[in-house]
Amino acid sequence: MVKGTKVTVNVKTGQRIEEEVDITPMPMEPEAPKVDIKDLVKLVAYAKAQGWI
Amino acid sequence: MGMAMPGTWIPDGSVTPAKLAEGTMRMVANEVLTGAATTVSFTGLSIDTSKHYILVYDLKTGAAGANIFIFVNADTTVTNYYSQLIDCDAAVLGGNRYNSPMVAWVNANGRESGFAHIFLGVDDYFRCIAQNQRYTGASVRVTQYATCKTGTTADITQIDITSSAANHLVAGSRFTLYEVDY
Repeated sequence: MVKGTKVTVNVKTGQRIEEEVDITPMPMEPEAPKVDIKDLVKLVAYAKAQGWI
Repeated sequence: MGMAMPGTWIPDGSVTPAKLAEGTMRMVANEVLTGAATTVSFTGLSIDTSKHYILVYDLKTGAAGANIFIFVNADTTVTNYYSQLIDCDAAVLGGNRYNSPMVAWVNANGRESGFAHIFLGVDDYFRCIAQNQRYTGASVRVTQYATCKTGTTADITQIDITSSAANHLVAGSRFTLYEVDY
């Protein structure tokens, strides 16, 4: 657990509370695997030239 | 100048409760952080009453990047949610699915603007679709996250936006919540 600030806004009453709370560390998700469309276009052109598709 | 509403015109520009009964969008909270925070929590909600929420945000992070998560009804167990990412950076496309409720990913000292539509589906599943603009100028990039919960929910009474590490949302970050009633 680490300490962190939590801001709570009650939309009914307008009350705003800022407090120090225990924070459970959360996962840092990886960025997405990526592909360059330009490479895909070249790959498709090559595959067509080879008669594969 | 009149105002068009579904099935009704307000040609006289006079807005009355009866005319508003056709549907309204109303700002219910506008939080601008004055210091670093981990979580911004909106309570006192009822999506059964309001039907739909729209959260508009401008995110600023500190010295480290952070995932930004959305939780509902104080259920902060990340594995109770899934999210799907589409990421477009020039001609480079990416995608991923996470066992967590992502709405954004902000890099170190990052700035990111976006909005999230928050629903409770007719099947009582929490759903959220968030679209973000990351970076500016020649680096401009778009990300979109679809998020849902693994179980059903009777109502949505609380929405929390939380960074993946303590106090990674810094002063100046803005969160504006609208309720859409119809």
